[in-house]
Amino acid sequence: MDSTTEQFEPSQLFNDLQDISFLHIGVILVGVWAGIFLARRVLPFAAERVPSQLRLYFLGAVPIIRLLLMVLGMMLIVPILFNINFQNFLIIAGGASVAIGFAFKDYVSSLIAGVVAIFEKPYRPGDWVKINGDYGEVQHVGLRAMRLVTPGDDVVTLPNLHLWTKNVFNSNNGTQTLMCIAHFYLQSEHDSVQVCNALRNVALTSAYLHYSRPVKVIVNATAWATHYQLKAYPFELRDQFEFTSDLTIRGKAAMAELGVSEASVAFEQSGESLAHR
Amino acid sequence: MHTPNEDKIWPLKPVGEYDWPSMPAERTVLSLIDRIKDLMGVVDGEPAIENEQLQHTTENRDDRVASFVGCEQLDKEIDSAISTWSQSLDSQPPVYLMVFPPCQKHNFLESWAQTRAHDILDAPPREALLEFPMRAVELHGEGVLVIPELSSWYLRNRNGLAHISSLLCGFATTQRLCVVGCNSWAWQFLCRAVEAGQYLPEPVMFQAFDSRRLQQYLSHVARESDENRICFRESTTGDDVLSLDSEGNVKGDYLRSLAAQSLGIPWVAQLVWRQSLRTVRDADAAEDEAADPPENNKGDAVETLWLVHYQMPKLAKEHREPALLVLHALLLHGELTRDELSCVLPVMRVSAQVQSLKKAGFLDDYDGVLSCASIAYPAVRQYLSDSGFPMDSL
Repeated sequence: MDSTTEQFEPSQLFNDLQDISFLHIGVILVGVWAGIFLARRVLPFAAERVPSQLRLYFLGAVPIIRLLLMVLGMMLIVPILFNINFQNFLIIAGGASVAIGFAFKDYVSSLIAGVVAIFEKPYRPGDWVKINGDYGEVQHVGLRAMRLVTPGDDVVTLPNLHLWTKNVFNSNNGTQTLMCIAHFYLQSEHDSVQVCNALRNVALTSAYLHYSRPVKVIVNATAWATHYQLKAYPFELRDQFEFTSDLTIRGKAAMAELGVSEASVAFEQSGESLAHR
Repeated sequence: MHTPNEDKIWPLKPVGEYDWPSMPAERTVLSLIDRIKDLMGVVDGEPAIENEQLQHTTENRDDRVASFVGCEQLDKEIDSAISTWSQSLDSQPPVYLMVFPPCQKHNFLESWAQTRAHDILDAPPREALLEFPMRAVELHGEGVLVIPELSSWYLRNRNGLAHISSLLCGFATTQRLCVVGCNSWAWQFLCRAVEAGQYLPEPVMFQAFDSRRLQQYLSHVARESDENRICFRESTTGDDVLSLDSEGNVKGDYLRSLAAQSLGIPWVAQLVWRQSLRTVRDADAAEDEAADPPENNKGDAVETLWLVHYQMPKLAKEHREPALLVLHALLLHGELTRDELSCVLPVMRVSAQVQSLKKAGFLDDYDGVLSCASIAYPAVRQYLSDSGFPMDSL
């Protein structure tokens, strides 16, 4: 056998059974599991109690800590089990590639997407996102999947795989606020400037308003109504529905005071739009 | 008593330069340890006097030794600032704007204007703020015109901003010297809602009452109010908290803690001080006096009042968010009736919130007019900050 062949000859892949300390492996696994368990319990618990400005940082730390602990655990366990050298690395990598390519492609793709999600941050725990038609607060970002809680209190589990193929709409992107929109459809005969001023004052006097974000009134003429969008930001993410409700209730009252009627559409039994009043 | 700063004037400073008094590091650590000890049920070491030996002072006694006597010092500072401003007047409009922390029960800018015989422009009654047409705001005349509190000129309601807008437009055209006061929360709101910052100059603010200023102020309060010599001692250390060392610095940490706890606001500090006062229980006092009659170094009789650490009220976790909405609205407006409160809040059960806040010590209710309790203001501010509400700026 020439020297080149000798160079690539694989040495023993696994350490001898008697050299493997299963106690060490057990301790490492329990330690990693305990660390991840603590991070998943303590940080969200603390996040609900610390000042709201810090809440998203606490929640966002959970997947990072979990990833670090898992990497640390693997780095500690692999040398105990395997006799790591260049040749063995090639064997393990080749074997893993075949397994991943045939059997666990989607699963591993999700795992990689999970790692990418931690660093690219298309969504973080505490963010409000819309993925694949589902809107809600990100409750948990795991390595394989993430969990959303919708406004209807449904829990939606979405594989991180969606990151490669679907658009991710993040409403707050790690900040404490997001834009809320109240819609008003009004009959066309009215003074638009007066309505814009009234709606603007409605937003400026809302108890939920974030002072340092803009307030906008957008007007569109549609075929059957004038469409007003009152856009503003609440100071707290979780108040978004209360804020939109407050804008809508007080906006409707303001329109009634101004004598402006809302546009409505009559439907036939078939559901087809017939007439605009 | 050594009081070297008796006549010192602390000039007003631009808003944003407020030097928030800090809690002594040792005190911060100790209070943390105390909280842990409380949780673990550990009994502390020996204080200078046991809490069981102390009782609340009577209201009559509080009124004599710790009533709010107004702050002559602040009057002097305003005099000095106005005098400097009016001599070098180059701003147009000729308006001087002062921002104050909230929860003043007696508006001292108004008192200052009355004692200096300046004209005062009263705000319209609150119920008129939502009415149309409104009366025109008249700013013309001779001499200085004082508008003590801008927060009385609006309601946070879609229809409640017309009067304040009219007043701000009036400033733009007047030639009369105007001195305007505004609470710090209302100022932030007005800057957002009606762009008040575009009409008025940069506001100024008094400097924080740190331990030195509090020593001077509280000594003055006690001296003005009671003819007897009183020694105020901290219950844990036994230190005379108003005494100064040979270099004129405040001894001990009590006043530094008080300054931090009250956020440097004199009327809050005065109430915390008042709530912290204790006397020795009658039976114990009789025994002590028989054994060791207290005297000062001149041989006169000295009365001792003890000071315990005041615990800020706590807001229950349940329904905290609506409660904070109520408190925030009250800070923006100073004081409101229940009906007015309903006008400025989203749809919610206002009465239930008001009742629970009153019970917890966060609200004052004088004949149906509600306001945030001054003594609870530091706690309220912290809760609002923690919950992400838009804050004031000092």
